Amino acid sequence: MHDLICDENRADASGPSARRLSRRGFLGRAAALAGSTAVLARLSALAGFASAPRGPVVGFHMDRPYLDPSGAAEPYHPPCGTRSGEGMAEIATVQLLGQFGYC
Amino acid sequence: MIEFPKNARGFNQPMRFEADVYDCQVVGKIPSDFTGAYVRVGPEFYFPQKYADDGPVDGDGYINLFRFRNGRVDYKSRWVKTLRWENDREAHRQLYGKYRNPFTDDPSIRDLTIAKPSLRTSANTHTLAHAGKLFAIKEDALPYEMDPRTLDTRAPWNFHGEYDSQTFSAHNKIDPVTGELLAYGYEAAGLCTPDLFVYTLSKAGHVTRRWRLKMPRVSMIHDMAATQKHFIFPFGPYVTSLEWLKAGNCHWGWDPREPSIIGVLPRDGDAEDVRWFKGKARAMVHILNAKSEGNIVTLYAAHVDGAFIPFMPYFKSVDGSPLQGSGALFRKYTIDLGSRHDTYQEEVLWDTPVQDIARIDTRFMTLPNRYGFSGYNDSSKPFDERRAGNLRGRVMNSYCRFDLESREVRSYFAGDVHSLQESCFVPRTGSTSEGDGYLIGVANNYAEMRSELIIADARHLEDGDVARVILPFRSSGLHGLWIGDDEVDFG
Amino acid sequence: MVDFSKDPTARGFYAPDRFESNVFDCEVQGRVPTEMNGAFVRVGTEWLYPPRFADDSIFNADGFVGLFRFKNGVVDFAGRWVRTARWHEDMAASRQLYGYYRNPFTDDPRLRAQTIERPYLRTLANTNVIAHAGKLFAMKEDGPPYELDPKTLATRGPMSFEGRYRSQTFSAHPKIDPVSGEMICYGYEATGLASNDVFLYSVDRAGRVTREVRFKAPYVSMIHDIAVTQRHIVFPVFAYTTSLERLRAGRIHWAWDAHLPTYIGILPRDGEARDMRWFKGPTRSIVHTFNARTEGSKVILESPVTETNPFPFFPPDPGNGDSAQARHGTTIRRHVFELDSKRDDFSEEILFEQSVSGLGRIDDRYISLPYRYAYTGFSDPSRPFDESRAGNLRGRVTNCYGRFDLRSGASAAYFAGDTHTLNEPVFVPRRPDSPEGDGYLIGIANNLAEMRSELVIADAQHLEAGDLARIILPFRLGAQVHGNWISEDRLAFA
Repeated sequence: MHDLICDENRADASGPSARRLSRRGFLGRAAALAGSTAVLARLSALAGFASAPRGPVVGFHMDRPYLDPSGAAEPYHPPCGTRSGEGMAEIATVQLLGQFGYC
Repeated sequence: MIEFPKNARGFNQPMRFEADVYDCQVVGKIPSDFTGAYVRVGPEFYFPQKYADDGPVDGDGYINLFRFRNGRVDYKSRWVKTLRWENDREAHRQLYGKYRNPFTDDPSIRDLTIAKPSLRTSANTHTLAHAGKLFAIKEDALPYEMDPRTLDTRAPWNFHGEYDSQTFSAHNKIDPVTGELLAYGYEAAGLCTPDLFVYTLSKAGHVTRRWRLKMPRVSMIHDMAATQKHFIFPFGPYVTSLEWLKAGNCHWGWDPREPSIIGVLPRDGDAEDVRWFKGKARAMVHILNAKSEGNIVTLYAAHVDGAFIPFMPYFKSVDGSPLQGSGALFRKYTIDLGSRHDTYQEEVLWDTPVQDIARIDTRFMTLPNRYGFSGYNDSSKPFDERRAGNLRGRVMNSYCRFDLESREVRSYFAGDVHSLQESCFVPRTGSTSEGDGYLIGVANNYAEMRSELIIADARHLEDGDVARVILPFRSSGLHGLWIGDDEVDFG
Repeated sequence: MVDFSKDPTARGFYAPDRFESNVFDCEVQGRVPTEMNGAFVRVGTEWLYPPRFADDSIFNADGFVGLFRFKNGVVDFAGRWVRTARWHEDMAASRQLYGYYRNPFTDDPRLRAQTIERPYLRTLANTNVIAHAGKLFAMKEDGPPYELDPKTLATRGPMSFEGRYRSQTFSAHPKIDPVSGEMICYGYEATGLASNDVFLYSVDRAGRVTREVRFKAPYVSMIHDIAVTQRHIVFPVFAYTTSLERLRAGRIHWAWDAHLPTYIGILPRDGEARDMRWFKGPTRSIVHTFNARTEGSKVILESPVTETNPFPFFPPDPGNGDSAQARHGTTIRRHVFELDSKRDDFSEEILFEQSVSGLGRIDDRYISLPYRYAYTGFSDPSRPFDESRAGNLRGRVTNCYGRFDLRSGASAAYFAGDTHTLNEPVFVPRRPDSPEGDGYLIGIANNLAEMRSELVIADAQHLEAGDLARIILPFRLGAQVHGNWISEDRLAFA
């Protein structure tokens, strides 16, 4: 059984730079997820929150993810990677290289 | 109903699409040195293969390029629309049989393809740029000219009618000193013939010299080397015959009883000056480079022991013995032309298996050079099976720069869910020293199920990415070249 | 530098697509019916460059058309950008110049003055794609339709109907009368941003504008879809509103206002503006309609209806939100408008309790006529869903198509698969003269685990039997809004 939720630090694309993310990098990423602070401030005012709002959340609606700045949406957690290499694991090395060449 | 084999799933499910991406997503910054295109060609089956025991090298030609200009990159991929592709398209099914065996083709085309086997080509192996033209090539026929702006397929090119071999090579070399194209074709006079035709062509694309040789054995000379003084043709004991083909086999069989052979032809000599050197049987498929220093010819290559693993099991052994082969290792072959013996010395330079499609800074082709670039599996690096699938460490996660003299290894790591395809060196604008530039290559991202073009500093591979182009899908290619705007008009 | 990394929704299956493509001889499981000769054309949204605002609507993304060409059991696919003026501007600048959904006041200064004055320049043609009078065109309700070449999908340019179509805006949902062949189309905000002008047109089967009616709505609103009968046109006006003041304040075009009543306008097809009659009812969202018919003095409308805001990216201003007790689901409802009555209320009946998607269709040969079947997607949480491979979406994806029998009250369901989410279904008649509902139900199923999109084909009369065929694309498709089946006798495809 695979974890459903990936660590946010690992959820992004490019290899080693994502893994070596510094604390500043992580906070920067969290801020990016939140959208600009100006947008956030305006939206939380609109949503009528008197106290500090929950962070924005990626929800799922009409079969697509969307950003809910109010934080009220039920979160969408994509699967933890596509595991698209799985089919190759069962194949013998000889056949693997024979069929899938150089990668 | 069009269905592909069930084991081609996940990342390796069929691709079969043509695409254009304008202004690709990029992480990092594309260096301003990049004005031109990285062009690749590889096999991709348009319709499922007719026979289950055919090989992936029999797929249709598929060409793609990353076009770089002004810090922006566009991507394009197209089928190479050979006669074969067009015939399949019209019939809406696979008409062609096994790899380079017209006797296994559909009856509706078989007579034609037996009479002229070059009509079967899929032009699926490599690209070439010469005299302003861009080509997709397979060794079984003339190269297909491609439109560099649109990747439309033009037609087979026979060099103003001056090139008379039926076949070409996927690995012809450009002499960086003169700009000449050094070319050859084996089985030049037809199916299973021992004819080897060799050519030099001027920078403008005209044939200036030709040699007609007979090989001591009909065999696959997949790649060649050249120095300033010699042509070098290494080949292992892949064999064929009309009898073998009529029995319904893929073109090549493997005969472990036969030796490997390296042919050496002086560039200023005649056909009868060729010498054939013999050595331990091994598949000799791709070559790094060679140099001539007096009577000593030194050849560098990443070669396997035994049979070539990617060709196993569909290039069967002729005596029914089980095929054996192991990973490619950087090797050095030394041929002493002053010796009376017809043998050569071999030495393993590094005991870590690497991709046999190793590459160099092509400005040093035919000249003494120092570095080989290739991919390999660095087992000390992490791999995230949770996200990428259980590939059990069978990925090429790193590129190396291998120093052929000092044996020093410098390494680039692509990422913990990645596997790398063939590497390519791109010179820095204005640089002259070997290896001063970038190493690029396409990495498969198994977690995101997409491909990414990595760009690293070739002198500082351990620093990681300079930039990375993120494609929205998978992209495959077997061999590729960096081609500058000064060589071909990409628009 | 094109960088989508700040968009947390653009990940995994929903990572940017942004590519044009061709697939020859698509991979097919099962057998494609050989009677299907024509094309399934769909249009949707794809960000050419990342949006300027993280909370913008997906409806503000560039138009992208996909076309599945069916011929003798062979299917080819082509995907192309709709190259609007806006697409060209962004591509030349290599970045996003445009601000919020339908708010030019938030555009880049280099073109803002122009887009404020002529907001239709911002159209993305990303909502629907149809054929009429031998032409193929994509449209969005904020500007003119864009004509496309049916063979190549190359963008030809905005359509002007020989200058006889005078609204700045068009509609995503014109209706083609199957009896007369005319196209009934309209544009709201017809004379400019937040203007309360609606222009209505009839375009004959040869493509000539034959009629124009100009009227005003009770308030400026999103008249996204209409319905037509043989004698009347039905205009739903509901709960979304805008104003120049709001736009100048830099807000997204629409706000939902739960205090606004619903108005349904009924206009005789041969009537003038003064013949319009507005019926009034409680707050509803009627974004799309199934169909309508006139029976004696009654106009009868069926639609997927909800009582709450269906679009979270068009939120209400403070105090205008839905009440906590409001129902959330969308259900198929019937509204009856009594033209003989002096009152302006109308009846509502929920026809099926099943909560459905807001995207629904009928057999288009029955537009404006009495009909029996409504088709729409819905989410069935009792079906299997593999969350480890597709994400925590059980009960939240459209995994079934339903056929809802308005005559008997019965329904039948097609299930797409345990890692799949469905786009809008389209009905394809088996033959031009087949009875209603005799044919195929088709639509895109996104396979979240295999990272690819699939076109499913089911027997519309036997949905529970599953696939007749499934076309397997080798990549993901981007978001879809609407799609249509166009037979090859209506358009010259490749």
